[in-house]
Amino acid sequence: MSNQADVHSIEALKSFRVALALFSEDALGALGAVESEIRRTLQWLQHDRPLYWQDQLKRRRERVATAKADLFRRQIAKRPDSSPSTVEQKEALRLAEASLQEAETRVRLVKKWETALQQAIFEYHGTTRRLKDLASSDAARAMALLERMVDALEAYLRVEVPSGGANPSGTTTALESIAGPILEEFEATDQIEETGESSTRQAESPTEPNARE
Amino acid sequence: MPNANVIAGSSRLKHAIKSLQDQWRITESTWNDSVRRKFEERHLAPLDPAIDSALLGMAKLAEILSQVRRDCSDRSEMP
Repeated sequence: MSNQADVHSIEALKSFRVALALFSEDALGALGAVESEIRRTLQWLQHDRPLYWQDQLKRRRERVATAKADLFRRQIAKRPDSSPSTVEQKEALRLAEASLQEAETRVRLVKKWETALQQAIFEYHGTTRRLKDLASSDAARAMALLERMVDALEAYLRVEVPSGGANPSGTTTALESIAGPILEEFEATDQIEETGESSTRQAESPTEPNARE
Repeated sequence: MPNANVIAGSSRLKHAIKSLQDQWRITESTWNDSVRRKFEERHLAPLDPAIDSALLGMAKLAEILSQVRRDCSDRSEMP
């Protein structure tokens, strides 16, 4: 690889590092927006709705009682020579009872969703956990890795450009020969961290059955 | 109607991964060696299934949140 190509590679690595940072920000932002919506809905369901529908139950029971009283008054107003129509009062009572039934149904639905929504949120978090890890800690590691590669390549070019740009390995590119050991170093660190996390997890849950058992 | 804010999050995620993939294609054209392949395998390949899973989860959640709003709202509160 010529030095010119290495410079292009460095610019591409820098641009990709920026793209990775933007991706991380956008992905975490998107997940955060969904979390805000979840919190808003939970707050509404667990605090606003029970109060609202209990109040509506009370109001609608009162409306049914009023409609019943109106109908009763109309019915006892009957005389042998005249019988006033009760159609309007019966319709008002029918509507009031339907409205009360609706409120009773909504109270049951609020209770049902309080449990069902928690389960749905739990399942949703299962579908996004991997992305959250990748967009946060893994993207940060990848960005750090790219930064190390860029720094090393730039240092190499500072030395090599004046002397004619010789390829240090002869067979591999400068990028490969310089970035390769950095990548291996990062992977080794990752493995150590993963082993450490695994040991910590095992230590935290000593009763968890071993996968091989 | 699916929940608008969750759908917006989902669109943002799709746009984010597309931008990253576009930039990666440009990067690939100047970086073609074993280190690039390892980097891709380690840091980029896991993104696709993770994004697919999250988008599926978001779509399902959006439906559920809309259903909750419909079921627990008063008719007079519905848009």
